[in-house]
Amino acid sequence: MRTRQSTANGTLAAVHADIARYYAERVRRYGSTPRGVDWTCIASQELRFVQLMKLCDFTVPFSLNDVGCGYGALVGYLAMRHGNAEINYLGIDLIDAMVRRARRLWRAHNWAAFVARKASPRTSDFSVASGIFNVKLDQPRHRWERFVALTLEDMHATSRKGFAVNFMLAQSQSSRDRRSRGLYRSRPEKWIRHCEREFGTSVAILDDYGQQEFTLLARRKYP
Amino acid sequence: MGGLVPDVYVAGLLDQLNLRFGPKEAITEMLALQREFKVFSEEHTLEHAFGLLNMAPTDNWAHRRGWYRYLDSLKRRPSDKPPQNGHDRVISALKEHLAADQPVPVHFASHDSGKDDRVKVSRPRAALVYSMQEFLIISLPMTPIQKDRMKRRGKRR
Repeated sequence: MRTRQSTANGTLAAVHADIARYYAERVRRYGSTPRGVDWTCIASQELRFVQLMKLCDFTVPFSLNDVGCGYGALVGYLAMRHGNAEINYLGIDLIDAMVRRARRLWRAHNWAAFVARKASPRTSDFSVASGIFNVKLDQPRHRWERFVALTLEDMHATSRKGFAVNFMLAQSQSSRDRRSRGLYRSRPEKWIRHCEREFGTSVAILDDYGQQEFTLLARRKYP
Repeated sequence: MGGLVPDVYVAGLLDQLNLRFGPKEAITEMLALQREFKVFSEEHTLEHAFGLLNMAPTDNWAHRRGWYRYLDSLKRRPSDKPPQNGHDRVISALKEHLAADQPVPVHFASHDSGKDDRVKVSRPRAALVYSMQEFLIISLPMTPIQKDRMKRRGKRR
């Protein structure tokens, strides 16, 4: 008999393997650049960071897990925009090559560390993940949503104060096109309900930053 | 583009700009980026702004450098709004345009610098025969590589 845990592990293993193959190829081809992690440009990548980091209070020190950190672009953004803030950053990524690049790129930033793992090995004040749910490749929707749910569960479990993630917004029937193939799009309500019901967090949605997507900020009610 | 970017790639480069400044989602994104980062401002060069937006050849670094050199060369070109040079004219036009609440998309075009070497910005109007959409039009002066070489040879003599 398969237990819930073994089913979850099986689901994640298949998805992780797919993701690892896809992004290993991206970074091999485009290097430590936004294209290497599937963003159009630095500016649009950082516009997402602006939204995600609204979760955190920069006036007090905090620790941060960056799930699916890629080559660690968030470190560059934090250094540039919040240079005076006291942050203990851990970037977590599935792909060894990404983590190696991140370590090389940000070696001068002693407040930032990186690990090649499937999930965060530590509990932090906050966790963020940018764009990790967008490219579902050939995974069936139900399996991808299971992956999203399990990832959120893990982020919640390893965050003392809250977590933030972003999703591509579901398109109307008329505006669906070929470019959407292989992408995961969703409506905010589904994941708001999920976070409220499963984790008891209070949820805020940001969707007015010029992208066809939304950012979900989930805060623990009693951190 | 005077050989800075091979002729055959120039149309693709202009297309890239026009897609990123295009109607609906594209101009909405550009507006959000401008509001958040002030991408187009006197503090940044065009090379910096377009680099940040990855509006440049991406697969060939020689072409990318050539594009940036072309953008820099606009500092030595006049504009339709003297005494502003061509480079600053593009920046100020985009900055002003993206300060509006609902800016129309932007269309980048080119014209023969032998006839008019200014950077030209036109008020919003329909720029494409196949579309009713109005665009702010920014037209960049360009020279065919052969003409540019002939000019330089002539100068040496």
